[in-house]
Amino acid sequence: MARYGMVISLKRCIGCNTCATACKVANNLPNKIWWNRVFTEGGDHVDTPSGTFGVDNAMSWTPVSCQHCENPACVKVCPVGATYKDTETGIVRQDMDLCIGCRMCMSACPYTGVRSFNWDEPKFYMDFAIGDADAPVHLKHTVEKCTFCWQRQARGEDPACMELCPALARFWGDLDDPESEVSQLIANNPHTQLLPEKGTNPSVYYLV
Amino acid sequence: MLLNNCCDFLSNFADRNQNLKLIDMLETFVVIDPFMTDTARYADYVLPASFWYEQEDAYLAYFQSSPYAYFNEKAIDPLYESKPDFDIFNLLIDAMDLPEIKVDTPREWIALGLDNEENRSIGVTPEKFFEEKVIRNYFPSREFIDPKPMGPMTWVAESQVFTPKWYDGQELETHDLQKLSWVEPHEAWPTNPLHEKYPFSANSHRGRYRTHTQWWDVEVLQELEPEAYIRINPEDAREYGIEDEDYMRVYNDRGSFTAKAHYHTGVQPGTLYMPRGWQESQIKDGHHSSLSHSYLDPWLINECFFDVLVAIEKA
Repeated sequence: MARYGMVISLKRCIGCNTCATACKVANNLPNKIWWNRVFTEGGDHVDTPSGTFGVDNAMSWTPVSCQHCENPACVKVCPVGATYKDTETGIVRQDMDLCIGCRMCMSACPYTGVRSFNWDEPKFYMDFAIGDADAPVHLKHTVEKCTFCWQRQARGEDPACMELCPALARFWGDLDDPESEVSQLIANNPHTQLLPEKGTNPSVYYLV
Repeated sequence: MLLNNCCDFLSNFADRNQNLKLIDMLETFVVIDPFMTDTARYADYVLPASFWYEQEDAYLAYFQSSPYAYFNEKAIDPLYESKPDFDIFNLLIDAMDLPEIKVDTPREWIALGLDNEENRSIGVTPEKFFEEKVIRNYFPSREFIDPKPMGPMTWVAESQVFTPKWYDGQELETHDLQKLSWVEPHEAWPTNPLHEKYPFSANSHRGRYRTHTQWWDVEVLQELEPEAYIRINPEDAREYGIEDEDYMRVYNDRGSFTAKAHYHTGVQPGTLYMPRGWQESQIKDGHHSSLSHSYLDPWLINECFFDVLVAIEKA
């Protein structure tokens, strides 16, 4: 039994989108689909600061993907049991063969934008698959989201977004193991979770 | 005739109009490039160069920008009609019948750049480089880098001695550069009467998702930044009736271009952040490089990309 999770240091994140792009490539994501997005504090455009020039300008970024909640709202509403929490790892998974595309999970999830729906047959820029050889299959009329890179996890590798982060802002490990790097980071640093008032207890923690 | 190797100067250099005039003057313009850039589109002949992964090459830090030399291994054969730059140049050498300057393989060429007395004294040899693939601290062979006595390596060797970056016997105004003094900008400064007609000083920023214009055609990155944009302080924009995401036109006597306004409170009022590194096809109208000038200060190594006065209007 484990509860895998991420710690992302917002003090270190430089908003470069390397994690988002690594995810996009490793999972062979269809055009216009992003499982991991980097939001900027000041507005919708990339690298938009908050505040007023010369007074209180500030720049910060928040990478957001599926929070793999300990208490996931999406699992409760799925009418066919396609969305479920893996008991061994705590990872919130989806069975694409069961998904009927009702999008109940999308409306129940408080973290808007972490899920995408394939309205059409997924399209790709390349005429061959890229990323991991065992990257997930993408199906029309199904809901997609971050899997914590299940395929890499199963091989004992870290999720793709953990690799290459030039700011060394991302950490991965077992939140149930008090000695793990992620548990130690949470224990010893000021941190937050997204929308704690929703009672979902995300497995993604942000150092602030 | 001009043979231009892997340089998209129309989109990257200042004063696009002058560079277009230059191309017009040429009888023949040949471009060697892996990408169909704006510059390549103006060529009479495009010789498609193969990509890094399709050829053996080395990165030697010509301007001492890093202490490392990297060996670029070949992963696959060149695709389609493309050829490695090395092969293209050897074909040109054959056609021009210049066997005395021909080197047969990329490794021999790389060895010329590394096989010298200084390197041997610190144990760096071409063989070691090919085996280890990355080496730190080495001396590029002088004749390989720059045959002139006043090349960039000389600058490093005689450190802190400033020399003009281009010099053809002209009278030089002496800046006290050894003390890193400040010099008034050539154009974008309030003392310039043009400032009244063109009240904005335009800077530009390096895009996150490209290196100069390189990677402009990577679709995944285009999803993050679909088209060229101008960063403007919302206070300035509102004075001109420009909303966030509106198209705005930026112009001066040299040219104009139109792109989306992005509100950005980090931009100092009275200045703009122009786009940089975009192709003409990615800009609503015109090109940002047509607004900059080509004045060169002989003491400086680069063009004055940030020294541009412009006016704006809602498009």
